[in-house]
Amino acid sequence: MGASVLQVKNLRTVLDLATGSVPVVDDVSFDVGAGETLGIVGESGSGKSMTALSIMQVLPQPIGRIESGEILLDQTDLVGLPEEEIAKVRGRDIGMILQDPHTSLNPVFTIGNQVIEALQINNPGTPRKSLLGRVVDLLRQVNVADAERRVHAYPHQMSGGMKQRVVGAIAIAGAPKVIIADEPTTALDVTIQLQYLELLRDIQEETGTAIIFITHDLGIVAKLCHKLVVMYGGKIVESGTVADVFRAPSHPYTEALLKSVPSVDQKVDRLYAIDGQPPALSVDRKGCSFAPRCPYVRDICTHQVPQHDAGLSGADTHLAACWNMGRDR
Amino acid sequence: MANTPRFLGRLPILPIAVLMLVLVMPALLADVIAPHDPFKAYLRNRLQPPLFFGGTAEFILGTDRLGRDILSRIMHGARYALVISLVGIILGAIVGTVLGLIAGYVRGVVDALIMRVVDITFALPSILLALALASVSGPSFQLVILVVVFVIWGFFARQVRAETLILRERDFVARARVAGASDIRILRKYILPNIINTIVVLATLQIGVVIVLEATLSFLGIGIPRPIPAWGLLVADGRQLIVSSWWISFFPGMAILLTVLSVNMLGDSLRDWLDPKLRQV
Amino acid sequence: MSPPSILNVSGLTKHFPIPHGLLGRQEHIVRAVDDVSFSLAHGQTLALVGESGCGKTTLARMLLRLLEPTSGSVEIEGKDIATMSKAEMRRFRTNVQAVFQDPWASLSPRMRVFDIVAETLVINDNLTKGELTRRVDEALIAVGLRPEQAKYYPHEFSGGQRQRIAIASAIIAKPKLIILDEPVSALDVSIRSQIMNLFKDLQQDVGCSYVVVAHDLGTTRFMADRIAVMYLGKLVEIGPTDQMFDAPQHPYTQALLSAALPLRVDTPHEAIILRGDVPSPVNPPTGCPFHPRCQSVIGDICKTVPPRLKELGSPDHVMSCHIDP
Repeated sequence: MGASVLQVKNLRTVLDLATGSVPVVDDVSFDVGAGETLGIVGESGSGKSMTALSIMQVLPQPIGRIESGEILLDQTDLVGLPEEEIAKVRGRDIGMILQDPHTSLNPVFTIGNQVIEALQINNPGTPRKSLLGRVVDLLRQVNVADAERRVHAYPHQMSGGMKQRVVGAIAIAGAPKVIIADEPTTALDVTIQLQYLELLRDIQEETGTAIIFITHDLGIVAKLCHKLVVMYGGKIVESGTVADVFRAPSHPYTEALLKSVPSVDQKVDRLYAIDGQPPALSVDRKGCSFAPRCPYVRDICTHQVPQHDAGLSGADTHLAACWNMGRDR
Repeated sequence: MANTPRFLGRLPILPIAVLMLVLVMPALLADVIAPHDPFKAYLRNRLQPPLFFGGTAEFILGTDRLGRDILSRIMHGARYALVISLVGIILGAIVGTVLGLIAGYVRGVVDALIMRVVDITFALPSILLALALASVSGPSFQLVILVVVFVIWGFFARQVRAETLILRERDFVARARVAGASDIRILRKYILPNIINTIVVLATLQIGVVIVLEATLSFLGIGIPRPIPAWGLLVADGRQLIVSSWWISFFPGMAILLTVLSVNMLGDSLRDWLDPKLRQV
Repeated sequence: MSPPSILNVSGLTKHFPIPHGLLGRQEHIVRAVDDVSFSLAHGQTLALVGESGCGKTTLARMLLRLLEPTSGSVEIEGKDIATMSKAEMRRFRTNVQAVFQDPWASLSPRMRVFDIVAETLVINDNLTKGELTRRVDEALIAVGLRPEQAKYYPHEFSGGQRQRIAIASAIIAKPKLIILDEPVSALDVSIRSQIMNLFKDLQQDVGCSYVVVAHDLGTTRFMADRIAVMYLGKLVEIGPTDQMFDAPQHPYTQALLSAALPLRVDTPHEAIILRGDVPSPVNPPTGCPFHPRCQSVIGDICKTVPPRLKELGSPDHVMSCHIDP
């Protein structure tokens, strides 16, 4: 793992709604190095997808905007860059894979055309014909069987798993430094999901790209990621290496997530469950956003925001934001 | 519900005001507020120009060839425009909705049959149909309503069918079936309430179509029989004198224009408010 | 099977004709469900698992009589649901209920919670207004909602609460069998465990049976007493949950269960990675439908002869594979 390719520092993104400016990403910091996979875990409304959209700077317009913070791609701050610069970065340095393969591809163009489109962004002026060989290579790289023939196929002629692999080919066409994958396997079957995760890992080994994998599934994180960030209510509640966080989950929310998922290894009679719902967007929030559901809630939790404590599990990369850190729960 | 204050905030004031002024108030209160009897010929005041164009305050919008007050005639005409559009649209909406529900819910041969009939009504020129019918039975109120229903029911049937096709596959319909609900109950309690918004929006947007249709028929002399001062007839009355006495056709024409424009603007707002899905339609 | 069964499915088959060509002549037939048989004991839970196109949802819909089978039969407490009299049908509609996947699509936005929950009783029983209110209140309390919430519309609730409303309406008539079609997969992770515990509690309280359609294997292990694995419309293996998870026999079951990602990092996760995609059910492979992806093909027999179901030690655990157990 090399130096940080992408570094996000104190990112704060808001949506300007009729009720006021609502923070959807609040003081979020993380970094990911070459050849490294970072998992961002959270539920609906946790801000995980908004974080991805902030990095790509494709927030819902006109209501979404980055209020403060830095997004450093190889030390260059992307926040505040003019749109044409960002557009170049998006096609070339950052690849994106979205959840639904059926809507990610344009139904009226062939697969080959769409991959060529992505290649041309990086090789402007190159005739399309000469890129065809490269397209076949890319499709082979993402395990599309019979790539020479499939180049001429339309999206509707392919299965969901196959389409998602094509989306993957488009994402890596520009040899990006970072791939952002937002729940790319949620719409796929389990056996196909496994294939896809292996594919991402192979691509990473070959190209050394960094991957940010956004998901709600901790099983995927355990399988694929090196580091993870757990988000709740727009904030990071815990972060660290996957090994540290899984062995010693320190935030009550992480703990609840890990305990509440039914295990495939053994049968249990009851699942661990926390009451309540994930928080809705709101303008003014006091204290820890998990406090209303937290089994260990104390007075201070409801009116003061907890800071990140480092040095959990003996590693300064393992952080959690909880007022109960270091206390017996 | 929660949306109401937002809608009130964006209430299209202008179209509503124009509609009240041009269509609704005259229609309801013509007997009280019209300055003159619409049928009374003031023969000494024939072809009076409007006020500010050489006329007097007695006949603000001028008079026609027989000296009848244009303003009063427009006000009384509003009543027919309103009644015809309401009755025609309500009947057309009922026929179209019922057939659309049946087509979308039953599907198969019944659906194909109903939709082909819709295609035919869209293909037939309604004016020719009205001419043919009028030549048999003579112009009448009922004939106008019949033509209106004939022209508009297909729009309702098509839209209602399309939404029914989608709704019948929704899980809440499956749940109703699991609960043992009959087809009639499913249509009445699960499907119809979910398309009522669409029907209301569509009905509003059809008012303009119907008013123009009614005016066209009357203009051609196959609509509302004389001497009823229907707007189309008023326009027709002035057509030979359009150069010398422009006001005879102009003001009824403006009434039609303002009404149709306002109704369409109102319909658009209503559509945005009730059903964001329909915005692209 | 010693305890009397609530549900008996035998030879159940559903073929969907696909109109093909310009004139819509039927040329293709999708065998969505093909000759499936199983039974379910009172108070037990059976999970149907498999990937998209395996027919599990079609099967569930036939159990609910939302679809008519092409052949085969579904018996509820020994009564064939295809030949029920009107009165029996009414009993069936109160005895068998369903909870669907998407709590946003399964509640009509134009009905109040009270009407949604009361529907089965309103249709099938003649209750007084007071009695109806009492039953709705009971059902809402049983699923963890408050009776006052009956007057609201669905859009005023979160996804987890909406699923609770759907569950309340499914249990109000005290059914004996509830079909759960992916009941938690549309919900947030921290809500899923609440809802799954609720299903377990309700089962303990009223003794109902469940058929759960699920693709999440953790859910399956938690909920089910028995698991039926389907592939391209066919039953490939059915058996007790623990046996299935601990010692799956059919190569597809092995691959499917190994694809479940455990929440641990200390022991490496070894998975069988299947080749290729699930074939189209329009044109399934010859012989054993799984052979093109199978990691344990034993020879030409797999390509040519469709395997039959055979017992694995007990009639409780069967699979369809040419491999000797």
